[in-house]
Order: sequence, then C-alpha cells, then structure tokens
Amino acid sequence: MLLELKDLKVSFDTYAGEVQAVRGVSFSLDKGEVVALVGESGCGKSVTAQSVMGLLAKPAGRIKSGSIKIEGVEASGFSEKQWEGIRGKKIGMIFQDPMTSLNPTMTIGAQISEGLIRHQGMNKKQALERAEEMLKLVEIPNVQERIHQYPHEFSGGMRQRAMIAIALACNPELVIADEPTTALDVTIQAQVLDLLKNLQQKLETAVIIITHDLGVVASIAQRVMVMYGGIIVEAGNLKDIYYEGKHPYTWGLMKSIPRLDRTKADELSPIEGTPPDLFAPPAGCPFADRCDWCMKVCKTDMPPLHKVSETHSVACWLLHDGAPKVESPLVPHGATGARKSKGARHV
Amino acid sequence: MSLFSYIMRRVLISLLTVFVVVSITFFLMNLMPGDPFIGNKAVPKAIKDNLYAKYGLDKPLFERYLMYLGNLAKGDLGMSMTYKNQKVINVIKQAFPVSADLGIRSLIFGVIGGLLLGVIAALHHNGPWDTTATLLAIIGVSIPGFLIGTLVQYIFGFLFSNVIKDVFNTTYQLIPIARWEGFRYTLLPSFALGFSSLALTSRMMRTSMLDVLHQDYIKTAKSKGLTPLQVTWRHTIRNAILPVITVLGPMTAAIMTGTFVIEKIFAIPGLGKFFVQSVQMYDYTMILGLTLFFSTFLIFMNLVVDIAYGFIDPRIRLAKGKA
Amino acid sequence: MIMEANLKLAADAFERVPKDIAQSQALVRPSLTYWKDAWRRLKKNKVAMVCLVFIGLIAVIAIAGPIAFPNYRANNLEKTFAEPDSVNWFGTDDLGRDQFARVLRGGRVSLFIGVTVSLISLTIGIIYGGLSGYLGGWVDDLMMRIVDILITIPDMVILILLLVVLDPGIGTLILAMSVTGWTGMARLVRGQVLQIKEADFVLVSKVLGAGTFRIITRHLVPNAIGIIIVRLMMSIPGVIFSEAFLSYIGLGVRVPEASWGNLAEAGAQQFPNHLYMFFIPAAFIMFTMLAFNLFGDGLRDALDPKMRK
Ligand SMILES: Nc1ncnc2c1ncn2[C@@H]1O[C@H](COP(=O)(O)OP(=O)(O)OP(=O)(O)O)[C@@H](O)[C@H]1O
Ligand code: SF4
Ligand SMILES: [Mg+2]
Repeated sequence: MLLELKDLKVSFDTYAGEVQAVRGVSFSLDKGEVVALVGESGCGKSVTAQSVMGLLAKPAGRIKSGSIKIEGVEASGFSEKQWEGIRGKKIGMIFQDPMTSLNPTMTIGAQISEGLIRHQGMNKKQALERAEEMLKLVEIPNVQERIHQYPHEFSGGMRQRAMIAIALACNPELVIADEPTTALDVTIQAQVLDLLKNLQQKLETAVIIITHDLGVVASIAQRVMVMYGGIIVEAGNLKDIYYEGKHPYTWGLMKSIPRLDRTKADELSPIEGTPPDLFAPPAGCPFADRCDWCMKVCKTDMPPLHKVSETHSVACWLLHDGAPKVESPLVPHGATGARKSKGARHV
Repeated sequence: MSLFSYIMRRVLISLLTVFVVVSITFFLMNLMPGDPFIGNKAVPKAIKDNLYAKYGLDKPLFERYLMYLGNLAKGDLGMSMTYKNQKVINVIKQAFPVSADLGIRSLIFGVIGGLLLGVIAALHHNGPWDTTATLLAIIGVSIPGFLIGTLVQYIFGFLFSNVIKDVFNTTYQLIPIARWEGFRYTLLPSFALGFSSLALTSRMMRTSMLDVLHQDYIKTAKSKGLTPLQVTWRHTIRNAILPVITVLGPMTAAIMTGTFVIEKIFAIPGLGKFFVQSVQMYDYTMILGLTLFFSTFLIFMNLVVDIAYGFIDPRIRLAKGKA
Repeated sequence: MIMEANLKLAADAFERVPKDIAQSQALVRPSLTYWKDAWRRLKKNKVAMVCLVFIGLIAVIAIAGPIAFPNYRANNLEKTFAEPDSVNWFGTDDLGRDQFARVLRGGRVSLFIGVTVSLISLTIGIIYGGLSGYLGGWVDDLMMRIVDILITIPDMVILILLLVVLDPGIGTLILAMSVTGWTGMARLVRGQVLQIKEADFVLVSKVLGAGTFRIITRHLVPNAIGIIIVRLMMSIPGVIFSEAFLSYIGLGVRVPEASWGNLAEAGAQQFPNHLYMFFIPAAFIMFTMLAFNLFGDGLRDALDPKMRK
C-alpha cells in the first residue's frame, strides 16, 4: 500500500473558531493507481492533499486525529526534517495556477534542478542535464533554449508542463495534482491532461487528481472519490460512479457535466445552493440542505457508510434498509459524453 | 516594454525633470524678498546699481533666464554672493566628497542592517524577534535625525567620556563626537544618519518578505522538499529584496537631507552645512546652484536605481516588445 | 466514518423533508461589515489602542492646553534658563518664557500644521487622482506623467526654495508642504479608482449587473477608503517630522511663536547646557511620532482585506 488515510480529521484555528476542513477521510492507494478526488469548492480537497504533503498552513492548521501512512510508515507525526525527505522525493505536487506557482526570478532549469540536487545528490551540471530530459519528456520544444528562460517567457500551458516536470523530476511514487487544469484554456486543458495521462502510464506513478469536474476524471482516473463537506460521500471505480452512482450529490455532479450529447430535456443543471461552511458543519448529512431526497434522519444523523460492492461505498441514508427506494434520475445513456467534455469547468 | 525602451523612458523623464527643476528654481529665486546686498543697511543707490550690474541682476528676467541656462550648459553655476571670490562649483567640488563619504557609509550601514533585521522579523512573524525588530524600525522612523544625533553625541561625548575620565584618568575620546578626521570620527555621524534608513529598509523588507511567503511558488519550493534555509534564501529573500531596491532612490534623498542636520551637529565640513548657511544668508546664487546640484544628483540616483532594477528583475530585463 | 450498524432510528426517520437552499446559503460564520470587522481587529491590538488613547490625549492637550496656560510669549528676564521647578514645570528659556506653556502651544501649532497639510494634500490628491483615474485615456496619461515628474523632484528642495522665497510663517509652511505632499496621495487615489472601475466593468459584464453595486459599495469602496485613511494617518507624523526638520535648519516656525520643532532647535542651541530645553520638546515629537506610526500600522493591519477570514 503506497498511501493509506484512516479517519483523517484536519482543522484550522481561525479568529471565529475552528474550521473543520476535513472531517474523517479514509482511503488507500496502491502503486501506479490513479484516483480522482472530486467535489465543489471548499469541500476540503486541497486540505486533504496538503496533509499528505505535510504542508498544512502553520500554525492554524493541524491534524486533529486519524492516520496517514506513507509506504506503511505513520506520517502524521513527522518532523519537518522527515517531511523534507517525502516531499519532492516520494510525493510530487502540481498546483492549480501555473502563473503564480513558479518562482519568477529563477530559470526554469534551475527550478527543476533544485529537487534533483537535494534528493539525488546530483551536482548542478548533472541536474541540469536531467532537467533537460524532463522538459523533453513534458514535450516542451526548443529545450536547449527554454531551460535557461524565466517563467514569464513561458505560456500558461508550458508553465504547467514545467510544473509537471518539477513534480516528476525525482521519480516520485505519487503525484498529487491539485486542479492542474482549472486555470488553463479549454484546449490547453485537454493537452495537459493527455500529457499527464501518458506520463502516468509511462512512469507508472500513482496520481491523485483533484478537480471540480467529473468530466476531467473519466479520461484519466481508475477510481473516483466524491468529497463533500469534509467527508468522502461516495467512492468507487469509474463504472461505479458513472453508471451506478448512488449518492444524490454524485447525481448532481453528473448532471452538471457539460456534454455535447445533451438533449433539451436533461440540460446542464448546476446544483442549487452552496456547500456548508465547515466552520459549523451540520450534525447530519452535509448535503441535506440541497438534497431533493432529504429525510428527517438526514438532518440529525450523519449517514453511515454503506458498502454497495467490494469497490463501491456510499454515505447516504437512502441506502438504509428502512429508506424508500429511489431510482437514479440520470438518463440511462450515462457517461458517454464525459470524455468529450473534459475541457469544461462547471460544477 | 523592452529593457531599452524602459531605460529610454526613465532617462527622458529624468531629463525633463531636471529641466523643470532648473526653471522652477530660477523663477522662484527671482521672487525672493531678501537681498544679499542690502540686509538692514541703507546702501547708496549707485553702489547698489553697481553690484546689480556686476551680478547681472539689472537685466530683464527672461534674458537672465537664458543667460543662466547658457552658463549651466557650460557647467558654470556662478559666484557665491557672500563668500568673496568663491565659485559655487568650487564649493561643491570641495564639500561634496565629504558629504558623499558620510552618505555612503550611512547607506551601507542602514541597508545591510535593515535587510538583516527585516528578514529576521519576517521569519519569526509575530514572535519576540518580530516585535523587537518592528519596534526598532518604528522608533527609527519616529525619531528625528537631530534628536538621535544629539542623543549619541550626548551619550558618547558626555556620559561615556566622563566615565572614561573617572576610570582611566584621560580625556582621550575613543569615539569622537565632532569633526571629520578619520575612521573613528565617522562612526557616530554614520550611525545617526543611517538609523532611519535602517528602520525604513527593515520595514520594507519585512513587509516584502511576508508578502512573498504567501506566494504560491513558496508552496512549490516546499513541495520539492527543500530545506527551510533553501526556501528562505533562494526563493523568499531573492524575490523579497527586489521591491526594496526601489526605495534606494528615495532613501538617498532622505540621507542627503539628513546631512543638513547631521553635518551641523557633528561639525562636518560637507555640502549640507554650506547649504544651510547659504539659506540663512540669502546667498541667491549659492542656493540656486546647490539646489540644482542636489536635485540633479537625486534624479540621477533615482535613474541609476531604476535602471539597476531593470537589469536585476528578469521580468523587465527579458521583456520583449510591448507588455 | 460511521460504518453501517444496527442503528436505532425513530419510526418517522425516513419521512421526506423539503430541501432548504436558503439554509445552505446562510452564512454561519459571524459575518461583520467591513468597518465593524476592522474595529474588532483594531481593538484586539493593544499597542494600537494605547497609541490611539495617547493621540487623543495629545489632541486634548493641543486644543485645551494653550487655553489653560496662555502665557507662552511672556518674557521674564529675572528668571532665564531656570531648571524645571514647581512654578515652571518644564523650566524657562533664554528670555525666561515658561517652557510648559510653550510646549503646549508648540503642540497645538505642530499638530495643526500636521493635520492641515495632510487634509489639504488629501483633498488635492482626491480631486487630481480621482479625476485622472475617472477620465482615463490620454488625460490620465498626461496627468500621471506630470505627477511622475513632480515626484522625481526631491521634496526638500522645493520646500526649502519656497520657504526661502515666500514670507516666513505658518501659512507659508502649510502651503509649501501641501505643494509637495499631494502627489503621493494623487497616485494612491488614482490606483484605487482604477481598481473600482475595473471591477465595475468586469462585474457588469459578467454578473449582469445584479449585485454589482452592492459589491462595489460594500467591499471595494470601503477598502479604498481604508487604504486612504491609513495613508492620511501616516502622513500626519511625516508632516510634523518635516516641520521639526525645517525649524531645525532655521526655516520653520519663527519665535516668539512656538512649535515643537523650533523649541527643540532652541534647546539644541544651548546644548549641552540646559538639557531640559532640548529633550522635553524632542521627547514630545518622538512620542507623538511613535504613537501615530504605531497606530497607523495597527490601522493598516486592521483594514487589510487580505487578512480577513
Ligand atoms: N489556511 C487556512 N486557514 C483557515 N481555513 C482554511 C485554510 N485553508 C483551508 N481552509 C478552509 O478549509 C476548507 C476546505 O478548503 P480546501 O482548500 O480544502 O477546499 P477545496 O476543496 O480544495 O476547494 P477549492 O476547489 O476551492 O480548492 C474551506 O472551508 C477553507 O475555508
Ligand atoms: S443522506 Fe439524506 S440528505 Fe444526505 S444525500 Fe442522502 S438522502 Fe440526501
Ligand atoms: Mg483546492
């Protein structure tokens, strides 16, 4: 097992009080696996990722309870020194905005080299050679020249490629991509996503891809975790989620994927309302206020995790034996259009 | 904007500014009520006319303006009206090196000290170091130059030397409090003059550091597993220092005006002392000449700083075509 | 996460209830208006609050002090250079004038100059910068090039020239300092106006006008006003500082009128004798500067929208 999270709870201490950004997240990840973490803004996706990197904003952010195991080693109590050995070496990270996540006063080559010098004991020259290879790998043209350029001389898409090169430079076991395409143009989004997918297959790196958009996921992930209000509300493989989704929030996300084959009848419809403020999360199901199937119990009790199959689990009261049976409102042609629409950004 | 057009633009603005300053200075001086020859005494008209003719004060204003511009182009700033047979340019040649020496020492002390303090404060944000540095910086900004000058003079010249007199029975001054005759003499004035620059630099650097620390690329740097020292040095300080470079211009101005006071307190024969004297004696040509010199010098320093900034920041240095 | 178990549930547990979008959008976090939020943070900053109280005290002294102790010009040649005692709390000067009355009067003059110059600079800055930012285009370009040039001229040079040329006096001092003080403010105001204009443009085109006005009036305008207030607060000590400097080189307020600057200058002339004559007014300048600067800092932190959340 490469990564294993058990009932992870993360909070931030702010002036108003405790913000419970992550409220009990469990999942695990094998070598070479690609999983997607999907959900609206403010659901705790980035915070989950930051916890895995040991990068929670200090001193406000803290792991309240639960465990993070990296290659079987408990990491939640790691010292800063120990995290340095994980970051960049075992786990690489790609951030959302390529415009701001590269150092403006350092050449691209130097920024890729840094990690190599740090983790692989290379000297500057060796590291630069490797950086060149990495840039070729992420399909940047004119590498000889580009490597000595500064970020502002790169386009957005190229910068994100450079970010990918940085994340992959030390051959990490896992790459966390936090909304790697959200800030890019639609056409560029597709290119960057394809590149990420190809590289993943070539290098057999495990990937956690974080996104707002279920459409993005279909092309790359094997498993999907839908996150809402600080918890994972539904998890399963692609088929489980796309064709047999059971959670009303997942249905909502599916409906809001912009699709080319949409008919008038099932037009794109974003979910009404906003996610709960994790400053004072509701006692019951976090989705209750926005859910068309909400029941009394949803308001008061957190829904238990229901295992639909070996791979598929859902946290929703509808799956309780006592609950009325409801059918998925999704039109049967399901996710056929998902791949085509990977460029969209709506939720 | 390319680097070339960036520089050209700065040079043009600077030249234009110098011209504006020259003109303003000239016309303002001609409105002056005081008169260098009259003072309180009644001077016979013939003598007065004579003097006016000698200094060209009888000609029409515009003609004098053109004359003045012509002379300026030749580097001639005229004669002092109160010091017999002293050319203004010679006064500058003789006194400016002293001021420049003092200024450079203060600047080095202020900038290096300030950068250090600012970095330490930002890295210990909200900790005791931060409080100390912030307090020191605030005191530095709040304490007038004449107060700090007089204060150090009092401490070293009276309290400290009294102790030395009592203990070692000598009047030897290890750190002298006046005149300008060697390294020991430069210590107190440089400290007094540089203190506010230190305060300003440390404030700027602290703010800039805190700003950079919140940038995404710092997260990237951390995600590479770099050590805190590497993150701080290669990513934080290198970026945070850039905006601080731009205050070097205004800071030079502050140091220069500071010399007016500090040179007076420490009896240093620099240009600031001459300036204050000439103001008090209504020495037209001297004020005019020194003002022009100071302005041009500062405008030039600003230009140098701006251009240096353009070369240091790759975003400006390597910019191609229009932004 | 709770695993499915034999939970005991009420009989009507699975009754349907309608969804409640309004509830989902309700803000749970205590939501404060811009100013209340800023005030809350300012109150928490003890240093800033102490400074605020100190500034209030100094203001009271400047207003009421000279009324209670009006004899700041009265000579008493019988009692010159007297150390502080029970009659003359701050001692007397070379002409036997009561230093206490003079320091009070000096506070009034120094603060008056500081506040007036700052307000005048602010007014000119708002008109000029506002106009420039509002009109935009080549007018804005031209107006800003002019400011570029004016800012490049060293302040002190203009100040000294004007003071040498014009009749000395408080009015001249205020005029000269306002002439040099407004350019920075104009730039600041223009920047804020441009930001609001831009946001207006973006919002109108994206949000179909709905809520635009609200966002601008509730967030952007208070934010801009906050930034300008901080600048104003920081400008007052700057002016007091300059006045002291000018007095020190003999271009400031002239005796028998008093200002903290010329009192310190008079003290410096006696230095190192009669130390009280120098250090008392100098201390007043320093502590007032400190209070304004520290309070300004606290105010800026309190108003900084980046720190909200
Ligand atoms: N440094 C912090 N201090 C306080 N609260 C924080 C901090 N970082 C995140 N939070 C809070 O944690 C919650 C989850 O944030 P997170 O960034 O994980 O959301 P997300 O799912 O990544 O959303 P997005 O799609 O917008 O990136 C939010 O309510 C946010 O306000
Ligand atoms: S638990 Fe209830 S409220 Fe939550 S998603 Fe399921 S049905 Fe809707
Ligand atoms: Mg996020």
